[in-house]
Amino acid sequence: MILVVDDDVELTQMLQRFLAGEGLSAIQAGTGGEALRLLAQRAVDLIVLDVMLPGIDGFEVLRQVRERYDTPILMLTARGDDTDRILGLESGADDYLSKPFNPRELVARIGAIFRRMERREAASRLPIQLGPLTMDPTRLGVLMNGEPIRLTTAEFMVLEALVSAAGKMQTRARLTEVALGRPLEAYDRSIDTHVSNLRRKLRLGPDALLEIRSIRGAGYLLTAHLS
Amino acid sequence: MTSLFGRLWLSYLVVIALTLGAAAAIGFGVAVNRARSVNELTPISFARPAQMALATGGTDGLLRWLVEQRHRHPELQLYFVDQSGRELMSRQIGGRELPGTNGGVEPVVTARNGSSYRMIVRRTQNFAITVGDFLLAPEVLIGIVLAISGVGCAVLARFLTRPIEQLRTGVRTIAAGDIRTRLAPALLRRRDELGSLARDFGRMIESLEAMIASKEELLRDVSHELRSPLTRLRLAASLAKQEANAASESEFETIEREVERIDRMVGEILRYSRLSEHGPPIGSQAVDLTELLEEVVADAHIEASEARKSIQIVSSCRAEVQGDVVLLRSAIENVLRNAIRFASKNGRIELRMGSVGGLIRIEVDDDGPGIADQDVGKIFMPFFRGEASNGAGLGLAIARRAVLLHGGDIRAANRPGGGLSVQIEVPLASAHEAGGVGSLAGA
Repeated sequence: MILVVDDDVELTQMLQRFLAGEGLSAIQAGTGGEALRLLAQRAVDLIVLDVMLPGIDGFEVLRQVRERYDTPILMLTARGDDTDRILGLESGADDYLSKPFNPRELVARIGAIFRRMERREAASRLPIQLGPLTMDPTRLGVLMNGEPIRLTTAEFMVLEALVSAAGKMQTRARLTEVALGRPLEAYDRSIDTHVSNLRRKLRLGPDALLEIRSIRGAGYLLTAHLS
Repeated sequence: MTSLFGRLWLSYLVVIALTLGAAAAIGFGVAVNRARSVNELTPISFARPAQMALATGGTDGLLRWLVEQRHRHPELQLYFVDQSGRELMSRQIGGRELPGTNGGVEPVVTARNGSSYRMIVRRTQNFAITVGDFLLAPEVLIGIVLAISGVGCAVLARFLTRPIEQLRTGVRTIAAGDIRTRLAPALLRRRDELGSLARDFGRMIESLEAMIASKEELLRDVSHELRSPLTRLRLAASLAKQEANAASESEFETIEREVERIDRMVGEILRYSRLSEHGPPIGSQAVDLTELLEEVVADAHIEASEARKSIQIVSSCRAEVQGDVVLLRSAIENVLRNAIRFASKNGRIELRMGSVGGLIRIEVDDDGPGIADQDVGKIFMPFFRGEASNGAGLGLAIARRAVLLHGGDIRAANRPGGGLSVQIEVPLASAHEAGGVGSLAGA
């Protein structure tokens, strides 16, 4: 079940029909408040959230949703506004699409997020341990020095990919495949935002035990300074 | 001497030289006439008036007349000697004889009481015009006057042409596309005609700016409003395609492609107008340009390799600037994408980064067809190359605005060997603090 949050009723109705045609069922909400109510009542697999909403805006809705749910969120950002996109990913959106979007592209992104979730479920259920970091793939749970850290699905996937290949460089293309379930596109900086979110949330840096290093123009590498 | 300054200076100087020459000629003429008339004087010419003075006023009358003559002919001395050989005022007789005194015949004047005087006229000063008659030699004097007036004229001409020069600088920056330029306050404060010209000019720029701003506002609002219908249009087209048969497939594809195009244009217009809003708050953080450049190049490789073109960073340097990473990225990205678009088939794009003075210069060279020389300055204008299918032709205009917001500059030039070279210059971290963003935002 997909929840589409947009105040353009005509659009959401058409989107509902279109998604149905692609075999995806959807419900709609016109405001952030309505979206939060629906989330409490229904089992929602994915949220498509427009940034521009009357009353509380998309970013605020995103923040409130993230306080309680790990549901993947695809943001619809304003075309031509790069800061919206970055802000969206920083606030915990899993992916974004700029509006006016191509409906088929939307379906592809939704599919990518679902595939990624399936892959995650199919993957090993064993917790991963690296220095101060413990990852539990079953519950998307992460402990840093015993302290729980809240990560979005995309962030978790990026971290998992980096940790399971610690010491080896992961290209941006591969990380995009793993974390977002889609190929890297030209001028797509999503993965970099996810990595910088990880650094911030886990306080990874040259002085910490774990560090995510940027290999300029190529990718990222997780190194452990363990004694 | 084609400059206004040169012409003014030269014409003032010529006028002064002519005036000086005329004055000298007149002075010379007067002096020569006077000398000639004096030289023509003979003792006889004084005899009659002297006789008259003596006859009517006696010796007192003669003395008064004598004083009068001394004023009129300071170069001459008139003596009156009585029968006993005594001079009227007991003076020693001196000076040279006049040229007309031939044979020593001296006129005699007689009073009513019968006493008579011999009149002797002598020249005590020479009236020929000599060098000593002037304080300085005329050529030296003329030289000094010309030198002083030359400097004076230069100052005057400069005084008149400087504001014109300032005005011109303003006009040029505006012509280069920087409509936010304001003229020098000193120029605007002037109370003369040039000051009013500058103020009128300032008002003209302001109304131009307002006109342009309202045009852009309209464009932005229209684009903004277009987004919702466009989204719905796309969705409706996709829905129709879902339900339609295979026969109309290609028509639906055309619709989707065209909608996509409008969509890209709307996106670019919005991105461009967002940059042009007055005093846009641009983020200011330390940006590692070296890293940014490599990232953009890595990103662009995807697009370039699809078009079978290659990108290479030929030279680089360590460079950190203060600014907005998103804007700087879009500036470099747009220039690079333009280069990819216009590079020749299987072509090569070269990037060079280096520091020049307090600036970081990023040069992007392609091997494409270049641009007609008269159009080189126009490529940063919106829609200049809008004919191509990719985007609205706003990429370079966006790049330019982003660079200007960082207090930098962007230029384009044809490369000698063919192709276009675009240069982005951004002040280094410290230099940027002083000017750039602050003054622009305040403008």
